Amino acid sequence: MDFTALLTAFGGCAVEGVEALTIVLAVGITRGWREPLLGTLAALLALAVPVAIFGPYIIDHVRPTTLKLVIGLLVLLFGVRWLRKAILRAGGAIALHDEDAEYAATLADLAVRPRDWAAFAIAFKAVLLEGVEGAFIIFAVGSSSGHIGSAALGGLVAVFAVIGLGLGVRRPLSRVPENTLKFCVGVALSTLGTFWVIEGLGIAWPDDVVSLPVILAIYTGAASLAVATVGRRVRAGAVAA
Amino acid sequence: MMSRLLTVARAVVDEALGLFVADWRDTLLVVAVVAAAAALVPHLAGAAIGFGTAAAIAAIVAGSAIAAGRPPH
Repeated sequence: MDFTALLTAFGGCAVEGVEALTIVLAVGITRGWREPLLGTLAALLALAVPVAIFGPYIIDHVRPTTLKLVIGLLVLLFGVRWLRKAILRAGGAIALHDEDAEYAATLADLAVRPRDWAAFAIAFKAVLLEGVEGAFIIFAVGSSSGHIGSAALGGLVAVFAVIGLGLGVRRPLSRVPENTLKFCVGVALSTLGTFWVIEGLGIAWPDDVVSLPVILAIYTGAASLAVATVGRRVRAGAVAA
Repeated sequence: MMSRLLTVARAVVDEALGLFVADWRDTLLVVAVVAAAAALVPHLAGAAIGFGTAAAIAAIVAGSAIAAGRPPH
């Protein structure tokens, strides 16, 4: 069991799960639960089947250093994108992701759509699009670390935790600290991506146990400094206005 | 039915591409840093390349966010 892979996959899938849940909740509460739940199941299958089929094939047939370099670079780019957006949101330069607004927008969209298959289609599309990122995190983190089981478990636990919370609360999970989660997962993915890219180039880190925390500290420090700088500039701009 | 499936498929492809290439400049800079690290392998110690790469990419992310978060004049 690799807890780094498990926790990273859990965090990433939890963030995506909350965003998908908002839309599925809006559809389920207004149009009934059968179609959106079928749409959710169809989307999860559409994501899981390619990963289950191609994932082991890629892991078995691609050289480990090539896999680490390519997947590591993709994980790094993915993590950098999440981290940049989380910094801007934490600094106040862009608005935090508003689950209540997303919920209201979905209700408005449903009001103008015919009742034929809209509930299934909206839920399917939302879960599929948000799930692409979750599926990527599970596959990338699992294959590069060699612990796909741990990553898959983390992702599954996140999906069930979010579904359970959502069905229990029956409201958008607007109090989940989504941006904090995204910041932490962004730092984790940037750290892991960097670690694997360097290993993929054939370079051995001095000591895994020491190197990973150092890389994590570099990204956390730079990102925290950026949040403070962005926040200071946003507040100065607001005062001047 | 077919056009709806195509719309969903196009949205999934756009989402997948957008996972890695939200900002072309950042993407190119990160790839350039990794390419530079690869070129330095015969010349520098592994730890220097590794931690230097992490520091360079962290600086790119921080700098990009600070530049993007600058309030309009």
